[in-house]
Amino acid sequence: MASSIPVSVPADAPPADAARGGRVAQRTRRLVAAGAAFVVLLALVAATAPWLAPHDPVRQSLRARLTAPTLEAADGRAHPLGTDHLGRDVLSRTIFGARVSLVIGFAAVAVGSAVGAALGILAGYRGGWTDTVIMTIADAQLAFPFVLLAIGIIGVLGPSFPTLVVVIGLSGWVDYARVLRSQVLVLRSREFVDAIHALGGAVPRIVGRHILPNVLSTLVVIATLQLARAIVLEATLSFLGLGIQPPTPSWGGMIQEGREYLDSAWWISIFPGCLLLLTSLVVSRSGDWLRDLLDPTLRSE
Amino acid sequence: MSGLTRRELLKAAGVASAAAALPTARAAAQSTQKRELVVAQGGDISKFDPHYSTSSNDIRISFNLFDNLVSRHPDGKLYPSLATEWKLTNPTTWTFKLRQRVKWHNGDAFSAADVKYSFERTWDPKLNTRVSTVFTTVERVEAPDATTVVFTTKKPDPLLDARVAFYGGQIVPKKYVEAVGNDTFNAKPIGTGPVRFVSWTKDDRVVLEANPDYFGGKPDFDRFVMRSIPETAPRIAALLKGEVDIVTQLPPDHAERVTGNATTRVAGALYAGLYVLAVNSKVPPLDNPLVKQALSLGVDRELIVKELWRGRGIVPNGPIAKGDNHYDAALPPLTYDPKEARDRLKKSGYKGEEIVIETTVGYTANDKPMSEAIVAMWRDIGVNAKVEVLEYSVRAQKNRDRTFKGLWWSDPTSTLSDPDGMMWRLLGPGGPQDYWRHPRFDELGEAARFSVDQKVRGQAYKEMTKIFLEHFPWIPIIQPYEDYGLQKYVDWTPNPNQALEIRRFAFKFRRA
Repeated sequence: MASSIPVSVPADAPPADAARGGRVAQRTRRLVAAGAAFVVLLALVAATAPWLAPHDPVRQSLRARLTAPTLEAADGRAHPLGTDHLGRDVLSRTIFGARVSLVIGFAAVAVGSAVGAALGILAGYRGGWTDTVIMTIADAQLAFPFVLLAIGIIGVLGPSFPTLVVVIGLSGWVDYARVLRSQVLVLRSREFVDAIHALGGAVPRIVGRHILPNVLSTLVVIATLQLARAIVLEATLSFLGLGIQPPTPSWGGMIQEGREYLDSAWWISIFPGCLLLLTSLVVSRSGDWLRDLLDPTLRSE
Repeated sequence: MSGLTRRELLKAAGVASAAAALPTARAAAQSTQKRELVVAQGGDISKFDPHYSTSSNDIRISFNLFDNLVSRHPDGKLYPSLATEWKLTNPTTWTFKLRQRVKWHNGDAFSAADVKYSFERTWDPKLNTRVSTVFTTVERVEAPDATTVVFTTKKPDPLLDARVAFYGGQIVPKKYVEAVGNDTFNAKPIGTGPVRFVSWTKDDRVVLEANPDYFGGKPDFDRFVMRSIPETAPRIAALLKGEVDIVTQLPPDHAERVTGNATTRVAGALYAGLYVLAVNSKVPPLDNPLVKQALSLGVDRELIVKELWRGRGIVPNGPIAKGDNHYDAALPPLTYDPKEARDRLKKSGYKGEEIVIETTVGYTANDKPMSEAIVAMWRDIGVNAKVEVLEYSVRAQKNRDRTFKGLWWSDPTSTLSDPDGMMWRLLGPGGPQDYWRHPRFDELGEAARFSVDQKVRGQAYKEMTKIFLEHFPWIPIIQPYEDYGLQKYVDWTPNPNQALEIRRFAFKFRRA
């Protein structure tokens, strides 16, 4: 994973700086590894949810509703994190909620990075009016509050898994497109590109074999940052009732359902809320660290 | 667990401090010197003009700015208001005698011309009011002299006095409205009621002052402030902190906090209406009565009332709300019988088509939790049921266009304390929930509307109930209590029809 990405120290850096930079890189690398480990752990939990969760996450028990966290509940079943307003087990729902968050997060990032990278590289490589059109659309989208747009789109199309993935994914394409475009602009005028051109290399080959590998690390960093955003956006939409539909548990939906009980049954919202906070924090910090690791100018400072 | 310990600790601390402060606090809690009444409700006002809104947030104000000819008190009976007496002079003529020396808030004198103008305003097609269908039984209104109003109805209308007592029946000032126009009237409303308009800060508060010349006596305060606090938790916190005197829309799950507090209490009124799952009976398989019977039998209403509503409600026995005319107390509450439900489902030929409940989060209290609980119950009897969550605006749109996919929540209010103002108003031909027609049901509804013989009407509603319970154009779920949180020094009885009655006969501060 993260540790397999090659790190090259610039040759012209002074030796003392290089040693210090090496130590910083070492620490950053460990942080990235820890962040990655957390995400892997979460993914494992999500994948094994049916075996890990003590109860069926949608099974209601109205007679045992709003039970406080306890190891021996009135209905004879343990609810380590309590039950919600319909008597469903909060721990099981939180575990299953991780599935929704991660699946939508990764799927949305895949959609966003594919669209964003394609348009960004196209704009950067072709230039001219193609560039103008794509960047104008990007600016227009940035100028518009996206949650509002998402509410509009989902309001019209109705909430469903594919709609959510596409809407959340497309919310992030601009970031990829803008950054990749500027990188491609620089790369396009480099000697090796000219050389391949002169040797008769076709454009798809240049882009696929020579441009793309050079922007891949940037793409990975943006994707990490976007993953955190996608998870939070999914929770936001679920909170507004536009995300994953009940009874499927999602963290945002759970926070919303528990909001009314914050003063009496805090456990409904607090646990998914903390996990959402932790996940987005870890993932976006990992993105930052990853960027530090891959950016020689930042690293040597 | 640590949560329990913490809670117990807090409770112990609370008891200790309450004990220390007890003698003074209790005395102080039971009485007040306040001259200002502050009420918090769950949403802002949208209109002051009483003919352009029927929403409960608006009528809490408009029924106090304005008066009707007749007033329905919290005990459910009709009392004189702007009219002092009224009678049916012949089967199609109602005569109202008006109160004398009543003044509008701007000092103008109230007269029969205002009454005639107000009623004609409600159905004027050019004005497109929200209450244009309330008085469709009325042929014309006349004002033969300044204190008499005569209604001529198209056919005998046994409920006209009840009709003029609810929304649409508020009397507005002819001279003022004609002089300033509808927009200014809505911005600076003038009525005859116990409070006068002072100011409105959008999404925050409406300020009103007591009308010292009110014919029913000046209310027991100098100022009346209506605040808008949409979220439940802060609304209740405002009550517990003593910032407000009354909160509306107190969910059952939160009542404990109000009753557990030394200075506050809960008061409720059985809602004059029902919470129902309305059914789009045009869409298969919901066009099949057997399927709907199975759905009704598959809902454990007692469990919902006991657990989700903490007992604050009753299980309905048909389409007529308890407290209404012709409510049949002998009819058993709608039963839960999953076995019978499965049998009827099998007999119906149901092939697992998806059945959707479209719910909002909070349009009616507990709508989403009830939807989820009911869907789980239906899945248990073999129905492929599903919940979809809608935005309020989407729900309103679907309601207007009649495009609901299957079932949705509705809280039909009984505007006349009579089935005519509830099931017939909503389910009748051309009504807002006209998704199902049955010739005999329509014939009886029409006959009951225009009969002054209560025996004939009772018989008709009995038969309509029977047809209803076979076809279920609504699946009634609960008749809830509408609970309010009050300071103990407030002496007030809630009105079942959601109007917030603050006139002298219904509201008092306890003074030391």
